Amino acid sequence: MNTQNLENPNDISIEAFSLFLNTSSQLYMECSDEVQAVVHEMFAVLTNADASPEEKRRASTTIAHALHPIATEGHGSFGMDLAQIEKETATKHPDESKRPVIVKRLEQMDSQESSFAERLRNLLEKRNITQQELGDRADCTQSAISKMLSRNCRPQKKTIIKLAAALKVEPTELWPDLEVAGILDSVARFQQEQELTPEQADAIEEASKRPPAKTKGRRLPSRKGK
Amino acid sequence: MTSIEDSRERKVRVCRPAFQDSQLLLPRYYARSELTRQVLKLRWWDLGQPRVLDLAWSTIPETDLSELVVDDGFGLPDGLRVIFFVPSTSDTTIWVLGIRKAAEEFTELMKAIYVGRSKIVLERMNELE
Repeated sequence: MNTQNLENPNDISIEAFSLFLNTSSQLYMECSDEVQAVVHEMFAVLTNADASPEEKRRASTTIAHALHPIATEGHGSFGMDLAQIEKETATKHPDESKRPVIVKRLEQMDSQESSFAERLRNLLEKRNITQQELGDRADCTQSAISKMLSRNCRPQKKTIIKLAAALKVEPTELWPDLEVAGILDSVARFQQEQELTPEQADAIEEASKRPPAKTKGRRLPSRKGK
Repeated sequence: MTSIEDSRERKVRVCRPAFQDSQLLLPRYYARSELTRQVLKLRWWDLGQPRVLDLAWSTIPETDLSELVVDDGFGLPDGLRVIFFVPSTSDTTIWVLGIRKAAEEFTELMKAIYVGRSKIVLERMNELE
């Protein structure tokens, strides 16, 4: 890969950088030397012939981040506190129609975590197992178990499966929605697959060559009054 | 049970380009909300410990950056990597710099972009803390 531009960010096209400065000179000059150097490096990515569209997009958002510490509405501000964002999205989302959906989703996650914590605590008591013992058996830290019990750690699916095995119960006894989660994961995978595999492409091509089914159709009687 | 490490809660801050990455990779709020809960586990991370509660992480070679492995979420696509860093001058805040798919090649240019983002954070984080 050609990274020459990055090693020499000052070698970027003078014309391109001049054009950029014409529109953003004030913002650029207000940046510290370090941030200006980052803008140069990102500009080098933008003008690098080998850079992918995704690399260019990321470089552009980084330049915008450097030049506009206070962003326009809807794009967040500099250094947002993630815990605070989660709390505030439900009441401050720019699209008011989405707020109830967000509230519902947060309530669902809270309820799942609360139910899981309760079930896990009951099983620990019933089996007389300490958090440390369970952690050792399930390849998890005691701290993670403690956080799960205090609803500060939403477990991964594989963690639930490991905990269930360590407690000798079915995973759905800890997380009843686990099967739904499996379906959601399949949907997520499906949405992610943007290209057909050669087998899928062959199957579709084969199917398109098949003659249409020879089923005799019959005209349906028209509805009264039509 | 409360251990000593329980009392240490860090802030997790997200820089704006990372927020934009997440909106692009996960257009649906359902998946983004799931990712948020996973990333918030960084609040409880005992720096350097091999796991962030039940998540794996690794360092990005030749940089001060790290990646959190989120690949087993409810409704999250497989193989997400959350790029973050802890400024050496202040370990009370963990900064999320970006999100990428594991399948995506982590090129030198990509590395330079994330290092650039971390430099911007270092320059400006004092304005927030």
